[in-house]
Amino acid sequence: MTEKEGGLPLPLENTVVLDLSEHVAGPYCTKVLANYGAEVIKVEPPGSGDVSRRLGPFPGDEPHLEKSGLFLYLNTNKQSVTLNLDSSTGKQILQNLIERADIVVESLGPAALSRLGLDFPTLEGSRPGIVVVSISDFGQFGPYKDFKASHLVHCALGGWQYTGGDPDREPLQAGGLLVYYVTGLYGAIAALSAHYCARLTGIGRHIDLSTQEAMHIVMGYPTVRYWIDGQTRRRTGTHFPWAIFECRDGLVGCSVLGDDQWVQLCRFVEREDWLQDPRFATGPGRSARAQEIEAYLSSWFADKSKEELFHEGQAWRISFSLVPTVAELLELEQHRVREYFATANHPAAGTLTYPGPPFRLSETGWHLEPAPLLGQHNSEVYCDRLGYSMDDLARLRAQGVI
Amino acid sequence: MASDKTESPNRPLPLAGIRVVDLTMVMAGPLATELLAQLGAEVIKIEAVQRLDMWRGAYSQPGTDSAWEKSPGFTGLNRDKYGITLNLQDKRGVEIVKRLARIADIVAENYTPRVMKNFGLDYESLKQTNPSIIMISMPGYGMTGPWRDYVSFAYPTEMMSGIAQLTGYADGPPMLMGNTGGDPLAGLNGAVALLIALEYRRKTGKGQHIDLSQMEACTGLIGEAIMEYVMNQRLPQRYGNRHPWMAPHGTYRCQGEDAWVSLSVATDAEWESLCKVIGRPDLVVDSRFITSTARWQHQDELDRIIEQWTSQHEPYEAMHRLQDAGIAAGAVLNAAQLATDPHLVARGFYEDVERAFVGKQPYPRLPMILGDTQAGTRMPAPTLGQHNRDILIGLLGLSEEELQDLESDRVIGTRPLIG
Repeated sequence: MTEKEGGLPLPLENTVVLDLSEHVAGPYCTKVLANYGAEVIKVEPPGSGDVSRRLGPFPGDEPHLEKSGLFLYLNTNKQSVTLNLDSSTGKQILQNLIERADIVVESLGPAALSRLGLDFPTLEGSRPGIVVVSISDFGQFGPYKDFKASHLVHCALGGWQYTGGDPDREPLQAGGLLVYYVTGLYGAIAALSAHYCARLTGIGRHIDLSTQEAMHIVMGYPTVRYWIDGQTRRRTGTHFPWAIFECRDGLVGCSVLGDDQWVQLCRFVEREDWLQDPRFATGPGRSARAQEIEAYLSSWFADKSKEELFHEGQAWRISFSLVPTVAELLELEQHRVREYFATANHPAAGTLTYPGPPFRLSETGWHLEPAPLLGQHNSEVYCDRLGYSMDDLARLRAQGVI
Repeated sequence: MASDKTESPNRPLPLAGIRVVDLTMVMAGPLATELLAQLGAEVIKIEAVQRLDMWRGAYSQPGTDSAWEKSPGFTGLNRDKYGITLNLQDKRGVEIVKRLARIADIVAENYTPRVMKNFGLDYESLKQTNPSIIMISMPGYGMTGPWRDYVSFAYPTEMMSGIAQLTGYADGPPMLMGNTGGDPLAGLNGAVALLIALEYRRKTGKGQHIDLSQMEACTGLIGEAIMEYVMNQRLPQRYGNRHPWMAPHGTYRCQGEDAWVSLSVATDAEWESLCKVIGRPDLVVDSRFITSTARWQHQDELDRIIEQWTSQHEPYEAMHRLQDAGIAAGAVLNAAQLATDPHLVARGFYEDVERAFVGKQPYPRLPMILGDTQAGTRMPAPTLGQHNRDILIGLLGLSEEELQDLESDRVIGTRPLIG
């Protein structure tokens, strides 16, 4: 195995992933695999590339196919080839690429692979043991399979939105692009587990991963609760026992789970009298008096600093937290000591700071190479791996295939 | 998958033959092991009668008889796991964990670093009994650094990772998402980490220790917000239900109590369709809404016009009329609606599972259909100590006498010791 930074081998070395996905979910799935050493070949449409290349953020807000922050983050450690899947030559090349892959991740839409003549039985016939992960908004079949979606629409149909936000206002979606990242993590679980089995048994499989379904478990089984006791939880806003407070110099978070935490909190904020008060004795009792508790905590926190509250609260074993902005996140002491953030130098976008590995393994490493330029690895992949000549490449380029 | 009829049937579950010793509690750790369990691994969950998994209280009605066996959260999250009890304050309990670790592939825990060390069950100790063991530790802030011993119960991770700063109404403060916070996000990452370590062990025979900081794992899920700041030194905004450039993009009141539909318009063609659906073709040529930039600038007016239409329709009806016209739209589903949503039901997302104390209920399967594998729940969530005998005698070969001693000394048991 190749030695990488820190002298550790990469755990997924020699796993070849063909990435036919775009936007966020599929690319985050393959980014995680690439982080840990998988060879990920990203297939993009000639000219325009992955849609995320056209979505920002861009430096100085100037759109540029090679400078999208979203694309740069999601596609580190990957190779890019361009390929027009509408052309028959393109389809042939795609088949060649698939034949040397262990895992295919695609988000082309329901039945798209079949339309390309690459349905799973065909692929399995030419590449036994192959794992295909199809990631889509609503799955490969079912009444909503051709529905259009957005992050907001997913939050609505996935069940997150109804419980998000204040009770007297409209339901609120989750921030950022979280829905798609969650789906991407499921994609990685699907790909890795099926690949592990394929390497042991020679048996591959095709996995149908639905974004709507992927959102479900993040809610803690609300439908099971509904069936067991008929409860349909409504939105409650961000309130005690899990709340965010303003203090002297910013925000502090407080999460009081269970009686032990409540006892510690009462002592910490000098309200031992609450411990004698039967109205505060149970979780539901405290939730019913959330307003009173929050009012007191707000005034008690008001003249203290967030760092002071966080660290002193933790000294009392209370689950206090900061609520950092991105600027503050980059400076957190814990991140600095653990060297979480890392930098990479991209030929068009320059040297930038990136979030580091989501987890660390003691005997194996991770790496960080910048995202590829559009079609950067055409000659490397098509000539060196598939055996096309430079003349072939020029011809394919002229035909608009690559 | 239903359409792939020519596949050969009955592929094995992908993780059949993998054994996991699961010391985790609440949600992050148990989700990581639940995913492995549903993918075929044999998971042995360890609780103690002195200290139940706190998630046994998740959403259960307090004060009811045997409430710890009736938690919807627990029964959902612990399917396909064996359940045993072991008091780790007793050295016999610790010894049994070590014996299980000797014949396991994975040990999972989600405490601050000192907890396993105090029991003598940290990675360095377990490696002595099983050199190829894979162990995952998933504390809130990681196994190293100045915050390594800091506690983090549920929502701190959502705040600490930066996610909370992105969630909220455009005119309001940061908020929590309103579901189970950073725990499941960390749990998903935990499963990925374990699968990566399994693949490395398959190739090399080597185990290892995974250090998963829940804060770090969750910060990886807001990459574009971090890039925005890194590139432009500008803090990402909270948009509420709006969008940086799409308009209209929002959540609108419908007919019915607390009934809503969300929609997003990305292109001029979708905008024209929307105008027709809401019976306002005149708006297509209205200068206030003629381009996406103009629509974005006049969102407040636009939202009022759209709500005039949505308020005359129920959420599902509005969704279908909009989707039929090619517009991204979704009814804002509550738990009752999710449980009966025609699409989820048509995809076989819910499967009936019979479980002691709560009866037969529909539970969601994994959000992925594994080709023609006969997936699905093999076993309901364990009742407290349900498999003590199966595991301790059947798997480890303890004698009846030893089992009885453990029981009378309350090292094992099937009823919680209160107080």
